[in-house]
Amino acid sequence: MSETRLLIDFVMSVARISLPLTLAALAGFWSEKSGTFQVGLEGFLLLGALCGATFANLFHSLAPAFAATIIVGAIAGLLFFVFSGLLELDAILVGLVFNLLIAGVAPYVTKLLFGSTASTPFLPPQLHWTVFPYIWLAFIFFGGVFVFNKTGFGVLVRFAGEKPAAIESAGYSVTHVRLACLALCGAIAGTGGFFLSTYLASSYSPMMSAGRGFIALAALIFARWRWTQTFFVAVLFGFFEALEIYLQGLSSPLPVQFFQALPYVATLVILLLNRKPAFKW
Amino acid sequence: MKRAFYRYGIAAITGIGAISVLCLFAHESPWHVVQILLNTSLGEPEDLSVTLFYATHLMFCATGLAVAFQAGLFPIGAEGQLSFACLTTTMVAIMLPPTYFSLVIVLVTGLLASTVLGLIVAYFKCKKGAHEVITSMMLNFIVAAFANYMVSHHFQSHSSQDPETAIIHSRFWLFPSIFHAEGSPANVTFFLAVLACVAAWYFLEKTRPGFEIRAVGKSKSVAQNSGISVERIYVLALGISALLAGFGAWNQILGYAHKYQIGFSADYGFLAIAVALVARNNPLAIIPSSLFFAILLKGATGLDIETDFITRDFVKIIQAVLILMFLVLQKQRDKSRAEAEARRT
Repeated sequence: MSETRLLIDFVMSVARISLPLTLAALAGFWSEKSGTFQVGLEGFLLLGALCGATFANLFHSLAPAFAATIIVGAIAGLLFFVFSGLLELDAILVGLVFNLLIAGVAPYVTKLLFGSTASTPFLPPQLHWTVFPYIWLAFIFFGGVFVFNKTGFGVLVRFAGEKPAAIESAGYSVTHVRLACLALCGAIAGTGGFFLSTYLASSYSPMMSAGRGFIALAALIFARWRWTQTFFVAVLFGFFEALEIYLQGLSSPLPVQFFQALPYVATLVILLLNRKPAFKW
Repeated sequence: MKRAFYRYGIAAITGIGAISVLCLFAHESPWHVVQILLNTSLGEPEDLSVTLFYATHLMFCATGLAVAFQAGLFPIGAEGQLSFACLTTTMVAIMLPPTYFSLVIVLVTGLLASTVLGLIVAYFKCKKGAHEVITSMMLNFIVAAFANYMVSHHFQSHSSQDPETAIIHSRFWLFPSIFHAEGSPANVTFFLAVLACVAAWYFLEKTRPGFEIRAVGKSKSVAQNSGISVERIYVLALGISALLAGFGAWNQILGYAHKYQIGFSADYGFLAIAVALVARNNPLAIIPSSLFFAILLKGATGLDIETDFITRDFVKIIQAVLILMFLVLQKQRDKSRAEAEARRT
């Protein structure tokens, strides 16, 4: 009996922990499929986490905070595109600078609003969704399947990434498609961050994204930019992270640091299992 | 030409304007912030010493990165490589008896250790096609966990509450301080760092492997077709890049701290990316660029004390905006050059 209970608990914690990771990976999918290599996922997650906790504190309610986070995420995506697309800077550089910028803006905002660069005030327990995050994830996942495979926009995204000249000559604008994709990416990754600070935790704390954006990127690359595979690889990484927390709880003979490194080692091992180069250089 | 000038102006004004607005939001005059930054970093000899110490770290990491950037690679592992070099140097220095032979080993260990990390990234890149941003980032996290484990389980100093190792034997304190004050951080490795920049410049501009690295960076297919092995160049560039980051251990362990402290690095490895970018990956330009970022880094500590709402993290915003501004200017310059070229032909 207690073993089934443990198993259920563990599955639940995998699901919970996978949430931000999966959303970030699916967000990165849109950006990368449309031709913008997305290193800024880490920043988008952190921004989402900051917005989530801040807005929930200001509005005393989750739904408007969620909407506001989506809007801020989308605006951040557009800002990203101003530099990577309109000003034609290298997307990797823009991504790294974007991460740096968010890492600087987050303490600035918390200091101004809450008088501290540490975590935001804790949210009261009634501000806690239990089911909605999974509904949202399902919505993003199945919505993505539909949009990418069944709509004209999905076709445009593919071409924007693989043969931009083709859609230009068909009378569409690559710029517009990439713009839309980055806004989408920012919004989805923002919700991932939102759940990080309001669902996995109940406050924002500095650097709480802890490299998840990069792990999401690794998931995307390992899944070779395929939607369903990306989802499952991200869940697999979530499994490793949940394992880390679970094993830490047991008094194991292995040191804590071993488990801290586990998700990152797992990422490397998974990349090692890649037989042939994922893309040609 | 006139249009290019406007582009420059707009980029500069937008960048500086954005920072100023953020300052004003926090009830500080931007000029006051600049004053604090300069005062805290250059005001007293002790401050200057710390600034030069930071600049040393930045120079080593940034020249290393510049070599890899010139090959068209984008590793961001300097942070992990530096930590790993410092950790292994300290471990070896604690374990070995203080003889002349072990002196050599201590000097070399850190360099080897960080080079190995660089070669791992190269292996993943060449054999598995894994993007170097991912692998080097993962290695950074793994090194951090490994260092935590080593210090907390095996090398924790008994006389200290902080997570740090014991102090290494004074025979290994190889690099004396530049300033006369006791425990002043800036040490002789600063000059080594300047030398490393010059050497890296010579290597890239005047030698055959350096030329091959730049050729691969400019165009892989052209380089490949003219008989350069791209894989070999990637291994070389990532190896040299990591090796240079490893020299930071001389500065940190053998020159200044004489022990490994968890969290000793003020993100030198990441800041070095900015340093190299602003220097346009030119090792000679990295010398002034490192000094500039070192001033920002040291100056940031003053912001915590002397302002009410601006913290040291504010410098990250300044850095980000400056880098973006710089990248935009650089892009515009390349563009107007290309336009001029097109008009001429």
